[in-house]
Amino acid sequence: MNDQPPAAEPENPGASAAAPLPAKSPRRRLLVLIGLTLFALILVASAMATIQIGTAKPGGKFNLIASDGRTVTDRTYRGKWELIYFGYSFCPDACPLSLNSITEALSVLGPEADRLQPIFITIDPERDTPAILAQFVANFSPSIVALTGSAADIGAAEKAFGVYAARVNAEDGSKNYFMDHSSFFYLMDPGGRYVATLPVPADGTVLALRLKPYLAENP
Amino acid sequence: MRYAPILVLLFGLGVNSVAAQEAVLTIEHAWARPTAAANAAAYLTIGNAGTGDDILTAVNCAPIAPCMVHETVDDNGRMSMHRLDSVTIAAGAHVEFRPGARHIMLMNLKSPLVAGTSFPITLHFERAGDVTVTVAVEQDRH
Repeated sequence: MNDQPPAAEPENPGASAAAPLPAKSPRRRLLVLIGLTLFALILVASAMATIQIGTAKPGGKFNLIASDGRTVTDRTYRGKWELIYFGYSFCPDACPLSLNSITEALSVLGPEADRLQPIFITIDPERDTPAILAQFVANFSPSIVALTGSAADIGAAEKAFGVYAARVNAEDGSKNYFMDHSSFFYLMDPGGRYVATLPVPADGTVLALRLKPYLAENP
Repeated sequence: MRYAPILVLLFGLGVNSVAAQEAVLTIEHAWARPTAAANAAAYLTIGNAGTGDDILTAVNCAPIAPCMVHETVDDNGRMSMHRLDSVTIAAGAHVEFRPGARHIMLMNLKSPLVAGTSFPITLHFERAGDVTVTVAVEQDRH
């Protein structure tokens, strides 16, 4: 006990100034032990928190209505990679950009695009009827399936994917409104498992290059 | 006479240019996507080949809908839009209005925009005054 090197003390002058206890006292050792234990507990706790965040991956059950009236669930396109985007047809800028990006990517991918099912899910079920969605996606690739549903079913889908959506009234005082919303592509593998969240590039070629390595896999 | 604004509309080339004092503006590739719903965005590029700045202070799309200058802001994947009261077109600059960024937002369209059609937008600049451009409704061609 007494043969501890005295050099240990000046290494931490701040601590010794704050704690007037002699360096080699059992009380100090006890304090160090308590400190280390607390530190270890914090490490374990933060690791557990990380694991919990890690398990809250986007994806889950949904049961919605396609623009052609069919029921589409999270199981409908099993066997294909799914690229899921949440948006709304009254969205003047960001959502058409995303659908255009998908459209271009599909054309760049060529035959490989057959392995991918793009899905557009509305965050505005109040206005996005199947008929409006059909018109909306008609301006883009015919492969894109657009889904709507009851407010509760859309809410459940948003929650499953961790999507943020909030109504913002138009500046002109009309009944018109916009939605602030998450704008990402969620990539699910053919088994319906979450794989990646991709940013939305304006250039569909960039999206195609990001998707290519995934589509080459056979999970 | 030298400083009298000269309005030149070159519809055939799809380029409208205006010379006013030291700001010489060109407005190119005015386009909008076809839509299903009542809101749309129009895009264009404003160039200033002159020696003085100009400021876009208002837009008017009255024949088809109320409109305003808007900007889409991407905050880590969370999209929101904000109104811009003015946009400075600095001397020598090319200011782009493009998807995912600045755009002219049309609200409460009387009818959806159909590919192959066109509509006018009047841009009001502090120095150049009113400039009317023809916006082509077409798919994105970058």
